[in-house]
Amino acid sequence: MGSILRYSRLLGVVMATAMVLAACAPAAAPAPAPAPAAPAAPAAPAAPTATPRPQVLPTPVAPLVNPTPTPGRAAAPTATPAGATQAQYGGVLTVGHFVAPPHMDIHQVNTAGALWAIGPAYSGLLQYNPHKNSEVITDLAERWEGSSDAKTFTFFLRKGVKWHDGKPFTADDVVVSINRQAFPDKGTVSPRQSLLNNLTKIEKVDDFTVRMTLKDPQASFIPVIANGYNPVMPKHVIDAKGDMKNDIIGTGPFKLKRYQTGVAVELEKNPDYYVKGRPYLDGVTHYIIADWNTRFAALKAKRILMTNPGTPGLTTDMRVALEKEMPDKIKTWVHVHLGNIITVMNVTMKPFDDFRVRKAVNLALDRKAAIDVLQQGAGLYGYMMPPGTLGALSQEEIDKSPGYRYPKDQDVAEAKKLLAEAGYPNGFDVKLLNRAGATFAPRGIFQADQLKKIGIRATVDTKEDTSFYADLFGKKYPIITYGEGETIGDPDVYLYQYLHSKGSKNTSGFANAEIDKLIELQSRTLDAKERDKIAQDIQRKVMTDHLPIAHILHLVGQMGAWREVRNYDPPIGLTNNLQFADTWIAK
Amino acid sequence: MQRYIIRRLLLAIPVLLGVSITIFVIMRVIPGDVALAILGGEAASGVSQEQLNDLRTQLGLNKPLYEQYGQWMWDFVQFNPGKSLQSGRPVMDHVKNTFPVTLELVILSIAVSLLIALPIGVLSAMRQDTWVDYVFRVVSIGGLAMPVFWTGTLIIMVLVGTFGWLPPLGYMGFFENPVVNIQQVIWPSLAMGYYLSAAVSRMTRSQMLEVLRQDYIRTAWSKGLRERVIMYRHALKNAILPVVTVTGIQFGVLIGGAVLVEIVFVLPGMGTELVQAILRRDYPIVQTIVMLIAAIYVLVNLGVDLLYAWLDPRIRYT
Amino acid sequence: MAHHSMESAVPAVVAAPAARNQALRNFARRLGRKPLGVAGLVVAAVLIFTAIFAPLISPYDPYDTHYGDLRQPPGLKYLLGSDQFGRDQLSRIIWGARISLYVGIVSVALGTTAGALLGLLSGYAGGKVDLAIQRLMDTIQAFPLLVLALTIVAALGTSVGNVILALSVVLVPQAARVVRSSAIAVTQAQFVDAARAIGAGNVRILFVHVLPQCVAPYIIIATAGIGWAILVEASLSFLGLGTPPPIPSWGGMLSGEGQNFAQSAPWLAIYPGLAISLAVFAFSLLGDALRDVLDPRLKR
Repeated sequence: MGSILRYSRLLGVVMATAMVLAACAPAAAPAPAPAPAAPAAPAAPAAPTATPRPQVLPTPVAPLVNPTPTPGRAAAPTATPAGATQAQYGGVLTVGHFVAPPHMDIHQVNTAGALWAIGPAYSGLLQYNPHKNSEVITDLAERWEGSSDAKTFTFFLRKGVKWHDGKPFTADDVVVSINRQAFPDKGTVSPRQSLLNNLTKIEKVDDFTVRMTLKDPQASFIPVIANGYNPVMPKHVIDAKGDMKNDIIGTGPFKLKRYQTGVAVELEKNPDYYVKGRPYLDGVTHYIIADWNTRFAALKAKRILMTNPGTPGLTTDMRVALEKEMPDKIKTWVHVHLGNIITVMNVTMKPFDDFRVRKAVNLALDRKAAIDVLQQGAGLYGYMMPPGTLGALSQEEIDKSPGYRYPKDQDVAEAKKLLAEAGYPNGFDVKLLNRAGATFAPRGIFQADQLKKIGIRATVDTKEDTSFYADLFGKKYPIITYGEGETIGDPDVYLYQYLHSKGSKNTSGFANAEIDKLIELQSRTLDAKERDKIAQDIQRKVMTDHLPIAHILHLVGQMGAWREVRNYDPPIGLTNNLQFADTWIAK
Repeated sequence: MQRYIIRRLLLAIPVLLGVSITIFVIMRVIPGDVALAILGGEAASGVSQEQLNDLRTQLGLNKPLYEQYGQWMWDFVQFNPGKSLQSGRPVMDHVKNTFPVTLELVILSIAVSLLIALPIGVLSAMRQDTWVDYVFRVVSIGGLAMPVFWTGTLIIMVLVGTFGWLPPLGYMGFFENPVVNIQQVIWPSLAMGYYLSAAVSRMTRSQMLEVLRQDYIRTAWSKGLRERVIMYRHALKNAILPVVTVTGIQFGVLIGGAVLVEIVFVLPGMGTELVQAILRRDYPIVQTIVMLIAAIYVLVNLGVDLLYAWLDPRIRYT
Repeated sequence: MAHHSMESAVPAVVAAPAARNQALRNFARRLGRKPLGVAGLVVAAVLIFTAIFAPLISPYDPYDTHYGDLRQPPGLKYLLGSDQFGRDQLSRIIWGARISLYVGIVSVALGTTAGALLGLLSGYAGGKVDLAIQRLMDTIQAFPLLVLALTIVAALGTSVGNVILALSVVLVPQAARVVRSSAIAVTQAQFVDAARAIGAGNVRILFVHVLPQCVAPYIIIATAGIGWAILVEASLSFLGLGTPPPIPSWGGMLSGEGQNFAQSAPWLAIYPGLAISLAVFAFSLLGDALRDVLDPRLKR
């Protein structure tokens, strides 16, 4: 044990040195406007704690609606890989994965973790460009058209596509796939049904054409169709078995080779994939490794070539360590995760029914400290919309808003004053709900610590998942700190779900008619600029007058891969770019 | 002897019944909504009360408790433990794949622990109160002194840090591919075996000490037999009995340790399955695995007692 | 075990005061001859001292955060380094002694006492009572220990109290079994018949004659149990169900920040791990030595 201790101590010294060096490393070039620049460096803390802020931000996710009535929008080819001439065929991509899929029916799961292992086997009507994540391009649909009022969308499907079991792909499959999500029957679970609330019907026009009709124009409709949770599933299997829980039969570049429950999902090349010449890989295998350290070790020992994207990919320290120790061997990425850490306050429970109290909580929160403490330097802050997405408030505006100003003395003083005005000059006691787990538990602790500053004494109740979610949706606690990952970076997801009175994640009980109307309005607004403005306005109003949610952080995902893995770019969020159709391995 | 066995088996029934009721009740009492867990996963959202209720009815969770228990026991006795709430697959699937993994791990760990503990215990006893004794006792308690998951993580860090090597991922059964299998299972077995060896070595040591004071040992000494012969032929054989008992009792500890080690070393065993099922409130899986473990425990205890009787003819059973 | 006569095993407790003092001195002398046991005793005493005087010796408040000093390696300002929140490790380990020992000692006290009472009753009364209690003990033991503790904490929620409860329940059967066999042996011994013959009531026999014989094995189980309880608390934390944060328990520190930052801030795992190991070592060695001294069959 002595040598291990010595080794570990040496490792510790190396790590500490690494962090110092990393802090002094030059920043990478910022992304082009209008992406907000990374938040300004904090007034220099002791050097060892500062790790470089992630500088790479994706170009903003613009809403994609065909604004012009011209029919026959030209088909965009599926990804044209850069350096395609050098691509080599062969090899199996091994990916380390943090959770085992509960079952194989993508439409019915609600954890992105389940999606990744199975994703490469499926395709959707549309997809996000794996190399330019803000752009939606075609997949199973050759092209699509939108009516001028954006209430009817017609998709023209590829011909000659075969399911992995040889049966032909037709419009019937699309109809079934959409129907089971928008109008699920008793036996089917549809966690994302609300995203398709606006769909009145989908009909088959002919074997290779479908038409979807919406009640109101919906700017986010195409992103919803394009996101990875929405692949097309085979009608003949669903009809025969009722669901896809035990089958992986898709039209994707890879098909199922072996599913070893709890261990690995092995996929092999689909020789009949409709994009000629793809995939390059012989197969993709997802190994399920729950333990962080073991996963990191597996990457270093090259048992896996890549970690999964998102927060459970690598911790900041692991990524920094890789960048220091093996930069020539392993490449790392930081990407927008579309996940957040928020504090929800129940506006129907004392004392948070008083706006002044909620504002005080928001004022007291030190976001920069949150980034350092909770994410070891890698993270972004703003309000509901993640930086770089449509409707995100600019970093300049954020930095001037109450609660986000530095130094914090001014905001903290104001918070105390507000509390006193609200009748709590000596603060108060409150119970805070927190989620258990080594990754999540520190968040509630952090929030409670922030509340201490203004005299609020929070007792943190840390509960494991099942109890936590029961209490969250049961609205049992006045204040909750937790995080969520989202599917698409769209106001319909962030603003509607959390702030609309009927939003599915609205656990604060917040219900405001004006805000509701504005949220519904932006959903119908097709002009991107106009929509952006409305979405920003909504957030401004909420921040100024309501604040049911104090926003702590936007998460960034960190992942790594051996440099032999080529032509892979990380996604925005966690639900796209799953297929590895263009990825190849250099020998 | 036969009557003894039958009596013991009959006595086992109330125990198993008790276990089944206890686990059933505890699982139902645990707060947390199964339906929400199934629908929700990591990001529970977009789920309406109606959907939750539908799912609950579908899973039979809205029936009265005693009815659910009765139904489950009836099915279980016919070897039909039902379906997993999460995956919809039969529980037998979940158990069938994971049980051999844990079994192999447990057997190897016991073997490792005996390999470590017996020599240490014997030598410690032979050289009682000398520095040899002290060193061995400290080393053997060392296995007990660190939580087994931490030992596991350290092993992994050393393997990767010093050798740049990790066992291959993608568990393979022993009969499927023994080379890969041993590479995967040997490390967790070492961690667990070391952990277990503490209790066994201490018991060996104290039993040996006791036996060594016996008259017949003194006789053997005076007859001029060599130390090694005395040790192994006479002393150890008689000291082995309580060691066997202790090893049997360790079984309960083993499953707990197996859980932790399986997580760290990525083994798809029954322990991990059980813990995940508890956290996800997957009742059928939890109940089945717990019953299985209880049944095995009863059998192992019975086996140990029989072994005891066989080894020591002085013990008789009514 | 029942073969051996108990006549040589008259512990000090039932003898007259003068003889008792002498016996205690004998006991101390015999214990003193076991250096490992003494070492264990000393370390255990230090740990208990640390736990009791934590507020006085701790350099910082273990809950105080210092956002400017996140994850500092051990140095002058923070002797054992600082954690993710900038909290001083040394202070948290000192206070952790309080929590971990509290959890360990209380759960052992509760569990073994309950078990001992049941074992006493079981062994002395015999017959149907014995059978029933034995079945109950078997039922508890049939559950894998960690799983039982896990389910109890999951059922009742994570808190120090519930963790203690879970650990106590798991400890009951072992104590019951050990005490029961002692009780049986004593019950069969002659002096109990004699006591009954002169009209002593059951309760009196139980507590005055039978109980003292069971003290020795009880002490041995209890000291071993403390180390074990600390380990199980760490394992529960690893699974997410141990002492809830931000309460500083060694197990929670090892399983939480220790695991999270094993690569980059290993001091966050090393020191809590060391603390746990020290405690387990100390109590185990002490228990061993006590057994050597108290177990009459090993007296030379």
